[in-house]
Amino acid sequence: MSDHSDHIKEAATFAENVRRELRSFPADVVADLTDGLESDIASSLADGASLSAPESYAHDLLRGAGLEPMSISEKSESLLMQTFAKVEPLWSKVRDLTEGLAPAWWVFRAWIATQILGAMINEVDSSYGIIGQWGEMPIGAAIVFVLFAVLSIRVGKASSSKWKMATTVSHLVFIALTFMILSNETYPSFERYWETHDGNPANFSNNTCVKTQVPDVTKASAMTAEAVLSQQSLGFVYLDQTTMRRVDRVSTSTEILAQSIRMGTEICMGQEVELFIDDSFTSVPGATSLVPDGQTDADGEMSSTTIPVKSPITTVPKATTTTRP
Amino acid sequence: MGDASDRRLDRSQLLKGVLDLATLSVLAEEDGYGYDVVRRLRVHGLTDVAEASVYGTLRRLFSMGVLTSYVVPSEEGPHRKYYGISPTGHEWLREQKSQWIEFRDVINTISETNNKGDK
Repeated sequence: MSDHSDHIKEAATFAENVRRELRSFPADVVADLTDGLESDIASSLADGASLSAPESYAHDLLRGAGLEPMSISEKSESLLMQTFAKVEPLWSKVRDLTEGLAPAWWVFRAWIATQILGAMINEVDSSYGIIGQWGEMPIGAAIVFVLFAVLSIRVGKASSSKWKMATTVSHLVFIALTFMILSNETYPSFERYWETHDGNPANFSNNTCVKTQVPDVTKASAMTAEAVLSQQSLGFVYLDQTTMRRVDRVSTSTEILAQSIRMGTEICMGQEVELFIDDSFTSVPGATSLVPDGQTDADGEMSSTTIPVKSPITTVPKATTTTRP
Repeated sequence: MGDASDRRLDRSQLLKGVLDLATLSVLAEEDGYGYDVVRRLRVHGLTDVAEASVYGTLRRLFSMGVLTSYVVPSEEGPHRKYYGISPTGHEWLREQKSQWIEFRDVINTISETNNKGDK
């Protein structure tokens, strides 16, 4: 009994090896050739026969069936053909599908071309990429799009090799231009960054800023507050605490009652801090402002309360400067 | 001069030409599975027939419509694939037998002529 099961196991292993030798043939041929092989081999083993090598066994099987064993090159070719036979139907489906979508593609590439042209001749808005570059010229965009669409459809319908070549070249140009525009807008270079912002951190856009902490100027005089804030490269504006109106002329000794941004808060350099005062006590004869750009009149009042930012980074008590790219 | 093996007929080549006839003949007696056919061929004297050649021959004759086939499940192991001769196979067998007899007679005649020459 154990011999029988051993023979069955050995026969199954041998039959599997024979199938492996036949793997270059189509699966249905292999299945047909080796169906029931296990039981025949097991019977042979039970009769005391010894098995030959799976390769020669497979060759005998093939020759008996009228098939010639393949050489290595034929096997490779057969495998290639089998692979091609498997892939070809899928490729045909994809080709049929894409052929059906061709008109949509012709229109789409005309739209892409319109956007590329818009990005090239208009001022580029980096927040939109290559899309929406005709924002202020919708009629112009429509005309260009129609022209491109007509050309694109004509090229798409043409079958001559000359037009095909033109199509291929134009696609390559499309890809190159799209890549150039997108890379230029999405990832601005370091040089372009400084060129745009004059190297002055105070002029940085919302995307980037140099942070600084707001100092405490409450209870200080306007003169002191202006000095401290300007040293931190912060602007300021005076507001009357009662009317909440802007006060343009303030005495240097006017006391700051409160500030709009709390001490220690990190904000971008160049931002304004609102300073609240009591406008009924602003007139202090003889007072002067320490702010260089501020103009004072004979009454010691400043002509402007918004101070342009001077040096970008300075160290003052109660304030630190950090840089975030 | 060559050794004894060179002087023997190439039985494998001879067998190749008549294996269809031999296989059909044993199956005309009774249906059988692959190794059963091999065993019967060996009992009849074809001791050096290769198993796999017989199995391949059975598949080929079946695909030509000369043989019928059916599967018999086994409780102790894999199923057995049995073959039987079809009506077409019987016609084939008759034709092949007559061709073989004709061929055998020709060879006998030739070899007998050669024997007379030797004398």
